[in-house]
Amino acid sequence: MKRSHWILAIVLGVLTVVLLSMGHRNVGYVRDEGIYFEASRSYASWVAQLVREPGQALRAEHRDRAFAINHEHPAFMKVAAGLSAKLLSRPTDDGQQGVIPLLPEGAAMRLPAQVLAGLGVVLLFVAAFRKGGLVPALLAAGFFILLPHVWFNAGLHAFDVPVAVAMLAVALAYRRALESRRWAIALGPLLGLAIAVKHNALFLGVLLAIHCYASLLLARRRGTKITGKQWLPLPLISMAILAPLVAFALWPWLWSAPIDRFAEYLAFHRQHSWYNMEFLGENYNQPPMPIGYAIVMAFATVPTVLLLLAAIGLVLGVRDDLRHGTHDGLLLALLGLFPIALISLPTTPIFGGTKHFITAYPFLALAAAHAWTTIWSRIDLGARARMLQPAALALCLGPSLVANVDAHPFGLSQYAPLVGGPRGAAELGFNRGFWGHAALPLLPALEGERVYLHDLADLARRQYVREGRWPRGAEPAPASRASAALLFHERHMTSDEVAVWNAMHTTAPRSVLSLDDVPLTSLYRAH
Amino acid sequence: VTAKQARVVMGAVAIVAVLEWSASARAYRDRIDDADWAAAREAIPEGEAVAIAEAWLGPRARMEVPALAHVHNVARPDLQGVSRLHVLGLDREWSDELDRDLEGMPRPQPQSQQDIGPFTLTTYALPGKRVLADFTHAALRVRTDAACKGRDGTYRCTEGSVTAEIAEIDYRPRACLAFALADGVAGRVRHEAMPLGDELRGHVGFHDYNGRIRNDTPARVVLRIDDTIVARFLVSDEEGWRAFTIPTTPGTANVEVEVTVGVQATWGKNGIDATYPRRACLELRSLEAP
Repeated sequence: MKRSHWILAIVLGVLTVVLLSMGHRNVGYVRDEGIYFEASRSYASWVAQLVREPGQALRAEHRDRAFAINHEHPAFMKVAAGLSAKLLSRPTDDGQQGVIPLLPEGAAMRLPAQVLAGLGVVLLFVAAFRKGGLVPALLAAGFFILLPHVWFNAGLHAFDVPVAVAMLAVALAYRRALESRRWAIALGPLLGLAIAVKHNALFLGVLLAIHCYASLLLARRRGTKITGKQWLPLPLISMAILAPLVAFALWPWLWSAPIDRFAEYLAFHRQHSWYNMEFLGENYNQPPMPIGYAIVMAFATVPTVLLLLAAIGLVLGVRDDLRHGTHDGLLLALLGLFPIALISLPTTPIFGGTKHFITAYPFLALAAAHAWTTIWSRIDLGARARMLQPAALALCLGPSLVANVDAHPFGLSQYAPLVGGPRGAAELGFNRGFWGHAALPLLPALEGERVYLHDLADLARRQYVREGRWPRGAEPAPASRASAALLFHERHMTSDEVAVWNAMHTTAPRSVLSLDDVPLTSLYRAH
Repeated sequence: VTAKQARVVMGAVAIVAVLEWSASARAYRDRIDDADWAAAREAIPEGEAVAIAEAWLGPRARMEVPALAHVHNVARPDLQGVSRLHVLGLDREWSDELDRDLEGMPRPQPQSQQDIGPFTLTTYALPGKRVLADFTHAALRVRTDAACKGRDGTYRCTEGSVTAEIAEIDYRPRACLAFALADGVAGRVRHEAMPLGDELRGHVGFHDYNGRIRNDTPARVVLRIDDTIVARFLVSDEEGWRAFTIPTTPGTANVEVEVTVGVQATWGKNGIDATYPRRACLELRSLEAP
């Protein structure tokens, strides 16, 4: 890679962060962010105390008090968000503000996740560039970040895109670790860091071990002699020893009772309650989920041209591994297909829709780039290829970009063009956007009202209050005593909607927030 | 991969991409503007039965077209009492929901059609029995072991209440009498001197979806005409919006329906939860053939 290509990669990463930071001011706070904001403030206060009074902060009762909130997720991203707010937050209603008060508190807390999304773009660009050059690099980066569901999640103070990027970083490090002792040692701490972002990364060590041993077995089958030492490679040892230590060190909640609390953490996610998910017109909220859920939802939310390229890339990559002893094809197939396969198990709790297999997309993006590189290298168009490739790239990334621009700031409700976009998805019976965030344009109309918030989480409302964005005089109220009501449309929300009708004595909303004609959120006023 | 194979693959990719561009141009834009809704509002007569073919358009349609927000159209029990139906559709002229509401009647043929911007307004003629009386909107006498107090659809009893409201049954809004009574208490709703045609037609279902998942107790329904039992049956929430009909002789009679639910509370991983009980909901009309 030339210096100019590094600069381009960094520019794309920075551009991603800037656009996410600015654009997501218009994205309402999703249900989960409310509790993450609270937790982030608590964790960052503990870090501040650790600097001021380390002895006090490290006492178990202080530590546990700070980290008890939202201990169902590791602390790393919340600590980063809390520190970002301490650095960058504008004054809040309780008088707190950052050292350099540049951003609203929520935007400051979203920034670390956005920076990781930018890092993801850089990593994809660099990884694909090294294999195929500039156009595949742009394809890999664009494949990932331009997907409307990825873009939406990338801007939130949440862990799904951060863990996808962290897993990508670990996988890229693993590739280097197979040939470099330094990278092999660094791999463990990196995996620990990824585990400290979200539990998805717990599977990564096992998957990389499977890949490692599969590669060894393939090599042996081709006649390569495998030594005893090779069966216990340094990357795996590093992951087995250093990753748990780093993950443990980055989560002070575990320090007091590591085994019990880690077991509680695993149990929480294994037995996570099922949320309501509309899938092909049926509402699912208990097992079994249809086995095709993840595959159909991937098809419904990712442009088919990108999935097609990824599929071609996986086939070509695995074939190369089997024939020529390369490593990447199996690796991309394992990491790109495992998240989808895991969510496809009928007993896996469904509680977050497409974001739960977002971790597959960086690897599918690299697979698409591999397909691109292989096909264009064989197509033999001579100098014309240089002219045609950018046009073909625009042709392939265009549908994602158009969908993303169209949907912003409601990207979670966006669907792929061949499904028919939001209208097609509504017709087929898919979720609308289950996170109670599509409300910002309706908020000014709530001034002075007693508001039934419906799916807008109260902690999200409190964040708006902290930032002075909540309408004056608007107070939350149950539907029976409300003068106005928000209603987030989903199939299972019909019961809440009729409760609003009964309470407000009307079935006609005053205002409806739509995406391409599809109602997302309604505002009712009492008659 | 040979050069020829590579060209074929890239050609296939290009074809899919072009198709997606074309689909994007159609998918990612509003098709309906304010003028279209205003035209629909003008074209749809007030007071007649109207439905929207695409249920997902409902909230905006109810906001823009008053006729579509009327409770008779939003939460109708079925299409048995409808003689003329207008259906406003974006890409369809009919819907699966309407098919279910026919409850055994053949799908009607369109009588007329009108294009309104991107919409089509289709008018259908149905056999349309005349509704002579309707429990949901009538003055009733309600009792459990003792008489309940109230009128205009809200009745307070010692053991709970019976209320005329809109309930969610099988993910559809339905106007009905909701029985929120203690476990095992029989709620009796009585229409004195109810005008009768050739049939009594009603439905029973359970509100709401959470309750339906976590409680499977059936409801016992007993129907009396002039204090003689004419029907007795159990209804399970698996049956959705369970229809029933009783042939009647034209005239007037005292009609009483008794609904008993053994257990109202729900059962979840935290045990019995009485916070959001499942409620049985009843509607009953007397109908007369045209």
